[in-house]
Amino acid sequence: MLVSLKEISKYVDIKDLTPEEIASRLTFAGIEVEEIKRSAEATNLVIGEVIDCKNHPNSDHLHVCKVDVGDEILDIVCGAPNVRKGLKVIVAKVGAILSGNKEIKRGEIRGEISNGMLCALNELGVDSKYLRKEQIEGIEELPSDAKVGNANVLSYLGLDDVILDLSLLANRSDCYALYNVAREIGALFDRKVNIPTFKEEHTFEDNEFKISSLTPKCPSFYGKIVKNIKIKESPKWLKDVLQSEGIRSIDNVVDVANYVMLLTGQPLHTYDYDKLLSKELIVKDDIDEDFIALDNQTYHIKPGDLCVTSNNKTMCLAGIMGGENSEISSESKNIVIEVANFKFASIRKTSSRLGLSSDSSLRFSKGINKDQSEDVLNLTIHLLKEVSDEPSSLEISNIIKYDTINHEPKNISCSLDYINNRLGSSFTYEEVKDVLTKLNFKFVNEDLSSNNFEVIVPSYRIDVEGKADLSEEVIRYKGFDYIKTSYPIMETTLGSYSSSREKEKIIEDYLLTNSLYEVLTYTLINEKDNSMYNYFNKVGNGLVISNPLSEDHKYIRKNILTSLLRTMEYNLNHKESDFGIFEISNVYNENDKDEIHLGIILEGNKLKQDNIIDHPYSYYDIKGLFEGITSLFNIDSNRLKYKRLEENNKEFHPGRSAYIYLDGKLLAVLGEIHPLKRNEFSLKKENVLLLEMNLSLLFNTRSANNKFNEISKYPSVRRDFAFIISKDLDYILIRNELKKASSLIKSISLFDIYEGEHIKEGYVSLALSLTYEAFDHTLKEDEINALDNKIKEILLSKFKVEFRG
Amino acid sequence: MDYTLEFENIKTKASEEISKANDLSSLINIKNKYLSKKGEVSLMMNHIKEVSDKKAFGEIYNKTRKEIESLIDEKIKVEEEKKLNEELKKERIDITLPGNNYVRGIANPFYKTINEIEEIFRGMGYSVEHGPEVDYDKYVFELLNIPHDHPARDMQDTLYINDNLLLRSHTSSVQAHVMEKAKGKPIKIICPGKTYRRDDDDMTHSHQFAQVEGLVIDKNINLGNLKATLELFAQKMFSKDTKVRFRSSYFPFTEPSVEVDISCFNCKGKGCPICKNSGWIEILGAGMVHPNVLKMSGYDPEVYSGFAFGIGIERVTMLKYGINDIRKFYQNDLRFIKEFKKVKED
Repeated sequence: MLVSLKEISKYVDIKDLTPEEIASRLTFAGIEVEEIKRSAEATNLVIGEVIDCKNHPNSDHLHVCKVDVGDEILDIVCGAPNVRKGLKVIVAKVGAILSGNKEIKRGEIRGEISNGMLCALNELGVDSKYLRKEQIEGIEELPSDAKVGNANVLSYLGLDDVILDLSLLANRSDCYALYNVAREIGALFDRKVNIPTFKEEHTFEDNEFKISSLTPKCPSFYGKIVKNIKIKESPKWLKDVLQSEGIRSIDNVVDVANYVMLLTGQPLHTYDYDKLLSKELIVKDDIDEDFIALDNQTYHIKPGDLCVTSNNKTMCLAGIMGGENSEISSESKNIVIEVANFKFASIRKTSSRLGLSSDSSLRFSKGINKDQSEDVLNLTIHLLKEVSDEPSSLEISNIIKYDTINHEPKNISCSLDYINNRLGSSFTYEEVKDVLTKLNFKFVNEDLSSNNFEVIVPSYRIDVEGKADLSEEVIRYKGFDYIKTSYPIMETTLGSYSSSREKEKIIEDYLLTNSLYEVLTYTLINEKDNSMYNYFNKVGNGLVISNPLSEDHKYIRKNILTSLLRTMEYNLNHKESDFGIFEISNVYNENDKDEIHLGIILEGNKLKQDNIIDHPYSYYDIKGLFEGITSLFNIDSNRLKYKRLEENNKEFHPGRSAYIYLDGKLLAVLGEIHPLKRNEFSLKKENVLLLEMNLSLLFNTRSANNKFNEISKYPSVRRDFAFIISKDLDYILIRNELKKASSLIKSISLFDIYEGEHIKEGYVSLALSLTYEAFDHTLKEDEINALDNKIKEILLSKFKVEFRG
Repeated sequence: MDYTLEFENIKTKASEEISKANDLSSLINIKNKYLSKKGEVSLMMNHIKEVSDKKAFGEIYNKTRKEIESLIDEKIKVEEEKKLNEELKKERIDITLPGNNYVRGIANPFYKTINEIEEIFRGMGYSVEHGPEVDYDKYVFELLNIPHDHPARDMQDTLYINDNLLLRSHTSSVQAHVMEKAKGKPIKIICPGKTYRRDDDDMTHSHQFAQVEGLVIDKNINLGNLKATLELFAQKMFSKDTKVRFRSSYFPFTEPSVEVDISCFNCKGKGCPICKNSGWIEILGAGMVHPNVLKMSGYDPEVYSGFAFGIGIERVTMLKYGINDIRKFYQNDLRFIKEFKKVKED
């Protein structure tokens, strides 16, 4: 919202205030001034007359002029096509600073002396969008009665205004009206505000024109017919105001309507009375037809859209834009003025569906003061008379109205204690009353013994609903420095993390300790990425955004791995390699419920300090991290079951990957990337290992308690077995089988794995160390030998091993 | 016959040889030459038959033998040590090469900020809660005093899954969830989380970003409590002398609503590019929980009051470390992340 301080000064005296003072006070009171603009910025100007104009001897487009500026005659070279003898012009004298800090210097242009510049308005800082083509291409042509020598050029041009650009929040839509901005400034600076009001006047009673609404979405509609009006250009003062406010001048009637909207916040519409299809304006919301609006575009109106109709045909897309069919033109003689109230929800809906908005729809969709229709009409008539050549010849009807609104004022009961308790302040009753009164709240009921009171809310403050709002009015007026800071007094509570957050932090720390980087990727991904690495949610597309901004961010991801692969790809492309990355994030499962997942990628080599290669990452590194995490939560390894991935899967190397189930539920999938996926992620030879793990499953499962076991008093015996075994046999099978052999076996550990030289193809050498121990006696030689034989027997018969020397 | 002189000569000769010897093998030879069975000292024993005072002879014999032996042994020890030292010299390594350490990984600075904020509020007795990112209109809007078609819905362009289900556009949605669970009991929580809006990504906008929501509800909670709490937060997060300033603002779910500025931690209020020369930096939005919000979630606004605030995680991180582009958080360039190894908390 642009606010002309020149316009504001008509209603409240702000002569002694700087724009910066006003802006700062408004901003702290909740009406943010985003920018302070001058409508033009130029110094050292004077009005001059071109008394001589010759073509420049050395140029085909420049002119050499003599310009009378009152006290002297200046030689000025000018390139404007429209410069000519006798023209009144704006002269920037030597030393003038124009818009954009352009300084005018004494000079010579192609051999001719030039002591100044003749100006166009955009050179003074006027936005070109308000100017006609010829005003931009040439210099400004001043009226012939402009006084030569007048140095108050900006004021003469009406360009001495300061504009505040307000960035209004949804609650202060009342400040889309200049009157209300004036009221606010008046209140904040404790000044009297004079908003003019005008009496209803009419020259005839109309008995045939009908105004009505067939929908509750238009609860009121006031109208007046004005006949015998002449459509013409607006006077300069009106054009200047509109330009300051960023609105283009059209003609006197449309300009008055726009000006009234600017002043009161009430959007108006004007119809050509003679173009209406019948003597009625009826608001309906059941129209289904194509409609050509004032912007010459055709819009399809659907049932639900609010329309102002005449003989069942749309004349105006209510509150948004008028129709071409009833548009005011230079030939119009008789008009109908509409001052209606349309429900904001309806306007918003239609406006956003059609992608069509206007100053009018903006105001309606934020909500307007619904109690000022009559005043608005009266002001409009007053102004129409002011801009017409023969005000007395206007024929003005009485107000024709449809109104179902209850115009009872809003009352709020409140107390001083309530306000102070909410704010943590200690205002007196008088202070509170003073503030609210200045803000135009009217005290109607006061109990001075209890400091309870009741106020009437000014009708334009549609945002004020209850006593909490009154507390805000007081503090925004007084300033937040009046708040006494103190910590909340509450029952002492132990600061805590949610249990899942606490566990996430343990994992984060473990992985960071293991040299991995923690990354952050987007939840929303594209269709292609959404179709990869879905082991936990294989059903359909998952959750899809219905109004995505781009195809790249349309699907809510079902896994983290794909995003991590993209992160890996990005870093490889930027010459970073040999890293581990991880992310813990929500993803969505088959029931569209959120689940916390962990994704890990290991790429290239594991590094030590200073990027010394420790070893190339392998399956056992990623499995190791997985085991590390499960052991952090005391998950007994017996509850975990490993299963190879399907041989035909194309995402993981089928021979080097695993599903891991916890109590039968999929806990993780991990392994080496499938060679076919390498191209897709621009990989060369390096190893890439992946893991995705359902942390919600891990967090919600029972975990073993630490239990203390007495240590045996009798010595234990360690026996080593080294053997060669086929690689087709999984270690876990051997281990489980040996464990069953005897209760005297206390532990089994694998202390060496070897394959290569001296070991035949397809075989591997393993070395196991078994510890025997009894709780009640020292193991005897023959007991030990018997155990040894049993172990050997199992290894030979079940696993066909070959013992090594 | 007195062999004293003889012994003396042998000893002198031996000690000369010993002192000349400069390696172990010659020392062993010397030892053999004098002390072995056929050694010069041993052979002297043949003369015992010729002496009368056999005891005195024996004493000299033993003394000479011991003295020579100890001279040799001492010298052997020295030579051995010399040899070891030479060997150790050869085993010398570069003591400045990197040790066998696996360097700790680094978290995206986004997580550093979340952790810091969580720690600050946990220290004040807050519990850290979480709420759903995919949520119902009811929690994200309606229960926060933003009914359908409310103008305030314009403030946030929301990503919808369907008419009723959406990606939360602010963490304030957690307020309604927490109140629903707390069933009228006092509340003191923060909730960090990801939020989403229908925004094009550029240097200062991101369709995904994160907030920390704070909510305190009890009897007698006031705006001064909010200010004190946020002041403490800002001092822990930025610097000890940070001041907090409120400006009137609007959120549908708080009344009064405020924008919270902190005094610029960089220039201490003198004016610099970070604070755009104003001395103050806008850091978060906050306010007193709107009575309608309390009422809808089962708290009597005549009895209970509360405050709420929402801190932008990326914004705070960008300010704190001078990051100029929000997209950097989501790019995960490891060169960017590694920069945060240098960051020390004060």
